[in-house]
Amino acid sequence: MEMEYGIEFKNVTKAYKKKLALDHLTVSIPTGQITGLLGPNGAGKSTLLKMLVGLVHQDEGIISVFGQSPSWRNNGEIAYLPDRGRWYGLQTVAEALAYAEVIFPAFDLDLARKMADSMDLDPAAQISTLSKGLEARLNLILCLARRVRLILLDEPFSGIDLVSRDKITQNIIDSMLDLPKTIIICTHEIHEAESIFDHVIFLDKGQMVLAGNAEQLRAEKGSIESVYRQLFQ
Amino acid sequence: MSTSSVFWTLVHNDSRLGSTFRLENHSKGKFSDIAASFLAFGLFFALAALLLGFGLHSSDLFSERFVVILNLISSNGVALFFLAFIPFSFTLEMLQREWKNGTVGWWLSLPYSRKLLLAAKSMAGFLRFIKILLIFVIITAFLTTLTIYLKPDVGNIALLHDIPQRLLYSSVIAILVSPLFLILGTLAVLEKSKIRLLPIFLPAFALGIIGVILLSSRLRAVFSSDAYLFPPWLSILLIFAISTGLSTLIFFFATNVLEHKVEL
Repeated sequence: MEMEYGIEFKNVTKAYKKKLALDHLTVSIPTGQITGLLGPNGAGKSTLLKMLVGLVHQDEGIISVFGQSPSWRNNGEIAYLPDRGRWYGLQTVAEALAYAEVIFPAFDLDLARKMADSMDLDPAAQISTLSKGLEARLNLILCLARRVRLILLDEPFSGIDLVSRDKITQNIIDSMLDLPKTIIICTHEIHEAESIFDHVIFLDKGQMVLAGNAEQLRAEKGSIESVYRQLFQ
Repeated sequence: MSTSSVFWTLVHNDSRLGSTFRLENHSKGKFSDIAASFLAFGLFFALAALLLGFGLHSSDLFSERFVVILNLISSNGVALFFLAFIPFSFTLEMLQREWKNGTVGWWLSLPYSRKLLLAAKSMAGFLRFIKILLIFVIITAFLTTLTIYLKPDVGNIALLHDIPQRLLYSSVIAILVSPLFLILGTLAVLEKSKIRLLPIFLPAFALGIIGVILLSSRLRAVFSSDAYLFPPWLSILLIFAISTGLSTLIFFFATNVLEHKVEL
């Protein structure tokens, strides 16, 4: 079966002052799969995700998200979890979900409540009092409970405990089973996440160094982590 | 969801975002906490009023000076300056907090026009400004009444008799010019863009406004000491028109900067 690519970068370049974040990057991301975006610090992973929601503009090249240029106008179809992003600390968990229902199109409040329950989040807890792991779980719910075509998760496992990581991974899998969508996960925690990837893209210094089917790579090299080590060590 | 409900939900959240005086770990919604807060504020004001009452009652010198201070803070120029500056700081703070608190990624990736996002912040600032204005008017009116009641014969007490009219006049003018200062606060986005001209733009803008007011006798009339007795309606209308016109220009500029020049 031929794979469909909903997201395409063609010769995209982005520089922050003199530092190149993306260097004539050409990459395609398959629709309806979980894609892992992997690479060392400064590889351009976060920049790539930010470009998809219009938070960063390319200097050169063409970006296509389901046939359209990135802009806030298309963000109703995209759920984006920012790297090191915090939610509004003065809200409680219940208030955050109610707020999300209004401001995020296609937010499923019932699903979000079920997820919060399964992730041991107290609805009455104020967000500024949550631990880092609990806040990460909430942030993930705010993305996964949206019935959108594309989910972008920038470092969803960063700095959180093993139990939280397992719960987050399980929720990503459940979310795909519930409603198939395109998910792009940018992470350094390859060991925890590699089992959920269908497709992987390795970036280095703003360029793509390898891309392929995750299962095939695992069959050839043993694990995605070992591919990563071979590429970057 | 309709744009209107999104707008007011954003306004509600933004008004909490800009709460400088709110404790970060305040456990919201508990009746006992709210009651305790009211009790603490009530006790504080009662104590302050008692101390003030004692001062006014026991010292003529203190009373005379206090009358001068009350007169000064309710004079058109001083009251207007402070009342107009407050909304500017509100919008500025609300925007800066999105970056400082790390919520900006969520905020900027919302699928709504940048005009809606900035308009919600400005509206939240306006509502907070009205609250502060009311508090200012109530406290000044209370202090004036207290002083007149306790020291009806102290020197210059006659100055205080028309404070209600002065406050009303200043409040109306401040409300009319507040959109300009609220929108001016949205220029905080310049600091987050490639155009880092805010430290140059703001003083230049302030000097420009002061210059125009000083050079135009019609505009100056709004700030004259007896303006509250005979309001210069044409001048007030002119001030309102200038405020609205400049606000619109600055708002479109700020939304354009936010859409095209601000990156994370």
